[in-house]
Amino acid sequence: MKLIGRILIILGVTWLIVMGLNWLRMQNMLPINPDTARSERFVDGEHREGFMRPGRGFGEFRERGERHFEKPSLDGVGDVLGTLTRNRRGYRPYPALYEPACASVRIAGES
Amino acid sequence: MKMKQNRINFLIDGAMFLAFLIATAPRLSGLAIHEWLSLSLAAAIITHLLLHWTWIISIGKRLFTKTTWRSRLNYLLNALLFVSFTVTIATGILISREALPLLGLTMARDRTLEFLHHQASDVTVLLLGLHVAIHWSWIVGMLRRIIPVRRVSRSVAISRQMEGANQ
Repeated sequence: MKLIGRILIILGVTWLIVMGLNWLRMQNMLPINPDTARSERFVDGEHREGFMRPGRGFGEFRERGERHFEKPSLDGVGDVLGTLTRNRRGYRPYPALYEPACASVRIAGES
Repeated sequence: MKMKQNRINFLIDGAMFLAFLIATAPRLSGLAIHEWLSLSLAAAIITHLLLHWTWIISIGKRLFTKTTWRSRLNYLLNALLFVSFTVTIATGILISREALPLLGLTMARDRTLEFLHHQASDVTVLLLGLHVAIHWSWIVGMLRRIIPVRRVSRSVAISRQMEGANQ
């Protein structure tokens, strides 16, 4: 019973955080909204690989059905190390691994 | 008993850390694994909180009265980490393209949520790094207990070398 109570407290706090975030979004109090996201960041991220971090930019979720990373791929194995060491400029522990991946995306997009 | 509990905590936390690293590399795992792994990570976070419930309550009660600044900082950091994890997972669920449709739910694509998801995940990586750093001595201590390394004293090492040279 105590355990259920604790779980409910955790879920309740989580719910409050999500509701708070949603409220901020509805009130346009977040530093971004769809317009700014598009004009300031996303357009850049979509057209230029690696606006924030090479190979992991905002275009990452673009056209998901066509993206090669829908399926597991060892091409992205460097990302795990990249997570530990990544910075705003982007970190490419194995640059060669990224190039074929990017090429395959372009080919998939063209076809 | 305490040691056994520590071991369980260590194993769960280690598994969570590994899961987090894989979840932040969707190119490696693919989108489906990224989403399902992140959802299971959410359940693991709840378990983690339940295992440390006593600490959360005890420090929370005396946060503004008598406690060390280190504990206060740790508490604040953990609270921020919880918020950033929540935002990451909540926005991730809302922009889901694998897990949510499987449950019959499809959301319209929302750039704000995608942006928030990325930003919150970046903040989470940063905070998780600090979280690990604060608990580094505990992690190293547990590793040494689980994988005991034989420490040979200098004098014993020298005498062994001498024996080897004589032979």
